[in-house]
Amino acid sequence: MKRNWFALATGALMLVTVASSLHSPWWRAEIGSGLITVNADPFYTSFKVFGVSYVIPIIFVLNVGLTALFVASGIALVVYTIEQEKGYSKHLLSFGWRRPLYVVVGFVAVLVLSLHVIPLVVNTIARAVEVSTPMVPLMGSSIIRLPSNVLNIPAQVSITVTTTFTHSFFLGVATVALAITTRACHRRMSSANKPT
Amino acid sequence: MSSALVALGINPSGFEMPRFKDLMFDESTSTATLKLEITSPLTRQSITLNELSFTVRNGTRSFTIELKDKVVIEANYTGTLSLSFSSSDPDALRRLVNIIKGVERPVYVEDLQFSDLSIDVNGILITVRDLGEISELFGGKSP
Repeated sequence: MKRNWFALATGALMLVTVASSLHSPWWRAEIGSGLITVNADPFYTSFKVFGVSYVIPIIFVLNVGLTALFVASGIALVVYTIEQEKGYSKHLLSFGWRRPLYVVVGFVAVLVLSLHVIPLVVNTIARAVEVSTPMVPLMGSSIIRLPSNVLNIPAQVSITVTTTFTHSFFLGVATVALAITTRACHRRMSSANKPT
Repeated sequence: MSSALVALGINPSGFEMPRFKDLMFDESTSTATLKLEITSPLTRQSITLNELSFTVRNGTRSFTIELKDKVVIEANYTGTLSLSFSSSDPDALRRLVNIIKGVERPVYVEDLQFSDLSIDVNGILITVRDLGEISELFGGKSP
C-alpha cells in the first residue's frame, strides 16, 4: 500500500514547531532596546519587563492545553502514516491535519485583534492618553510618542517599538502548507483506491 | 515594598540622582569628560545611553556638544560613570567646561543658553527644545 509520507512530515514538523517555540516565540515586540519584550506564541507566551520575565497564569494554562493538543495531533499524523491500512487511520488524519491551520489562523487573528482592541480600551480608560490603532505594526518598526500632558514635563518622549515574526512562526506556516498537502494527498489516494 | 521592587527588577534604594564627581577637558583629544557617581535603578537590565547631544547658544553663535561613544551601565551597577563629549567647536567646549567649573567668567556667560537636548536611553528618545540659561541649570555654582 502506498503511504502518505506528507502526513509523517507534517507530524514531525508539528513537533519541531512546538520545540522551536520554546526557544523562539512566534511573534516578538520589543519596546525600547529590550526594556519591555512581548513574546507572543500559541505554546509559550511571556513578557519581559526591565529584564524580569513574567507569565500570565491563564495564558500559560491555555498555552499548555494547546501544546498538548498540537503534540497529540502531530503524533496522530505519525501513527496515521504507520497504520494507514487500519480502519481508524482516517480519524487520526481528520484529528491531526486541521490543527496547524486552526492554530496559525487563530494566532494571527488574536494578534491582529489585540493590536486593534488594546488601544481602544486604553483610550477609553485613560482619556488623556491617545494610543494609535493599531498600536504597533504586525512586522516592522514604529515610534510611540507619549503626549506631553501625561508626563507633565516640557519634553517630547518617544519610544521605538520593533515587532517581528520569528522562524518559529514560519515553521508553523510551513506546517499548515504540509497539512493541507497531506489532506489533498489522502483524498487523491482514497479516490485512486476506490473500486471503479 | 522593597521586595516587590526587587521582583520588578528595580533597585529598592530608589531612583538616586547621579552625583557630580568631576568635569575636565583633555586638550590632546579635545574631549570633555564628565564623571558622575551613579546607582543603576535597574537590577536585571542594563541601561544604554546611545545618544546625548545639546546645543549651546550665545546670541547668534551656537555649537553642538554630543556624546562620543555610547555608554552601557550594567544592571545593579554602583560606581563612577564617565561620559566623553566632543564638539564641532573644541575651543568653545573647553571654554564651557571652564565656565561650569568656575575657572572663567566671561561677560557673555549670562546670555548662554542650552537648547535642543536629545537623549536616547535604551530606545527611549527624549527631546527638549529649550533648557534655559546656564545660570538656571547650574544655580549658585555658575558665574
